[in-house]
Amino acid sequence: MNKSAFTWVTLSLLFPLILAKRNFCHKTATVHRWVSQNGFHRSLQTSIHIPWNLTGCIILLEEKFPSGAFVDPDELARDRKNGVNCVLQHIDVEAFEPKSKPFRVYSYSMPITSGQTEVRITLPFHLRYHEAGPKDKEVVLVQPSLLASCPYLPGEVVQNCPGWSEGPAPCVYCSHELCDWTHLPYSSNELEVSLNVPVGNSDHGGVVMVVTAFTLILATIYLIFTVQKSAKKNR
Amino acid sequence: MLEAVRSSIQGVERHLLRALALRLALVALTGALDAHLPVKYTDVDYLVFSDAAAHVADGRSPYLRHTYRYPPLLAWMLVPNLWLHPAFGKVLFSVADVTVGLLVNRLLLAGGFEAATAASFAQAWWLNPVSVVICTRGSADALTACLVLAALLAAQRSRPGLAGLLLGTAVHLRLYPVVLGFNFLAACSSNLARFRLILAGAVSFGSLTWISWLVYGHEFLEHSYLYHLDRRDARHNFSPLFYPLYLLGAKAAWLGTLSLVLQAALILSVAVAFAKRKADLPFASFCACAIFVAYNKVVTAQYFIWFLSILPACAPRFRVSSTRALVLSAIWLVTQLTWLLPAYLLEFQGLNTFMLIWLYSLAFFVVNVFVLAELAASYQPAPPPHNTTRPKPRTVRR
Repeated sequence: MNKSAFTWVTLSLLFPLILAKRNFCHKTATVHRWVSQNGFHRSLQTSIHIPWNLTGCIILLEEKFPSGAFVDPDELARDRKNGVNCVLQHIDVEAFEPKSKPFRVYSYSMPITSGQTEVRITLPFHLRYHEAGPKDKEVVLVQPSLLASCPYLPGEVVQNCPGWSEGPAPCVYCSHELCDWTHLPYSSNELEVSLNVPVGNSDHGGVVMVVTAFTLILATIYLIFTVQKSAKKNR
Repeated sequence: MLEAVRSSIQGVERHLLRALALRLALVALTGALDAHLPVKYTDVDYLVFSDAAAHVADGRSPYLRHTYRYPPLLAWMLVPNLWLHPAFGKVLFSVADVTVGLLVNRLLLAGGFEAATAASFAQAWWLNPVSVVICTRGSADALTACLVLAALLAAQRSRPGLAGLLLGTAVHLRLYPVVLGFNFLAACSSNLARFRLILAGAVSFGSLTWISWLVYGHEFLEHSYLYHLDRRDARHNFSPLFYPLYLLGAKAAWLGTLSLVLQAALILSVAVAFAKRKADLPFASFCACAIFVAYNKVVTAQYFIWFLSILPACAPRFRVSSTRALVLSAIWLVTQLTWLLPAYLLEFQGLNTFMLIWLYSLAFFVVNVFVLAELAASYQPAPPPHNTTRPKPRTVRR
């Protein structure tokens, strides 16, 4: 075989592979996010459409929560049917917003099955009481990081594409050790989710305090008077 | 007479079994209800108890469970939730709740009431929707209520040692029965009885607390007792104090102190007025618990069991017509319900109803005081004992 024929054979064998990789690397996932329920107890729903074959791999959604919201670790531990949600730091579920800090929540999918193109993650969370003020406050959930890894397929890695970065994140599931995860590119309908939090009106503080105190005192005088009158009547 | 009492007791046992069946049926349904309702039937506290019991079953501290603020004894009692069935705790609380009714019956019999009256008021407890719902939702307060009523029965039967043992155990489980201590002491007939009461109470409370401290150390004291002594929860609840504490924080802390002082003054006033005879001890205890709850910085629905469980044991001594009793009950219930609506709208719909919730809390507090005052005004103390001889009035012959 002469040199040019060899080159053509090699290129014709490699071309489909090169084309496949270009197709793979040019694809992006699609992430839809929405919050169900109202009030202080919500559920963050995330639907991820994955255009790649990631059979056996695990998707990880890393959410950055602000101080105005929290997740209940015990609640997350109770519901692990469709995936695993967890936090790796202490969460004070009773603290108000001014005394709380932002934190990260890790949502792991189950291993992707053959032919699976959608991953659905449900994350229950709650809004904290915020400091009283003249108007309601806002809590914003910023865009998450979408990661993938194939810990159960030794030797396999998520396709390494130019521009795709790797970064550390807790190993499966919710380990305190860090592993390398591949950041997957995605597009989303809503990069940020904004929620309204009702707060008490601080302008009413004085009146509320005085009225409460008077009510307590007057009620006590009335009750003591009635009790003593009843006791005297029955002697 | 004995036959009538025996037959009445058997009749009471039939009603007791029916009451238990009602509660167990509701417990069986709660799993299905919780799967479909956005607002769960099961109390959040029940999940806390169950998670704490799971930690204990794995050899860990129950205090690893966030918001577990109870003695470890409760978590130990609920370990069968893991071994038998998750609803075991609810069954246990339902049995305790039904036992409350039986103790009411026995208290009224010991107080000299007719068997039919004692049975009626026991039934009133067994059919009371508030008690049925609270125990089947998984509230553990029926356990403490049982111990308090048993202590009242022991005091009625002149057994101060037993009363002290039971009261001390109740205080270990939940701190609130400590407000009844002064009433029990006032009702004792002699200093020896008072000594026995205090000694037995100290032994039961002390030994249970010491064992818990030995096993779990300072975290037991911190979560089970110290947390409650300094609790300042500014989230919405039935207490009108929540809103000034939320709006003003430390600037409104003096309101908490004021409430505590007024609470203590009232409880003392009631003890002096009504607790001198053991037959009136149930009413004095009812008043003390009702005042404690009404003036507390945090009031939730499960606290109502603290005084509602004692109410049937003193209700026959209220000189109120059925209509008036119904009106007072209706006012009490309706003000509760009016509070629940804006609270639901805030917590589950995100509407800003803070001012409304506070106004209804204030109204509920006023209603609690009003109803208590009406009951105090209508209370007819127990007649003096039959062997008390009174000097006959002298007749002067002209």
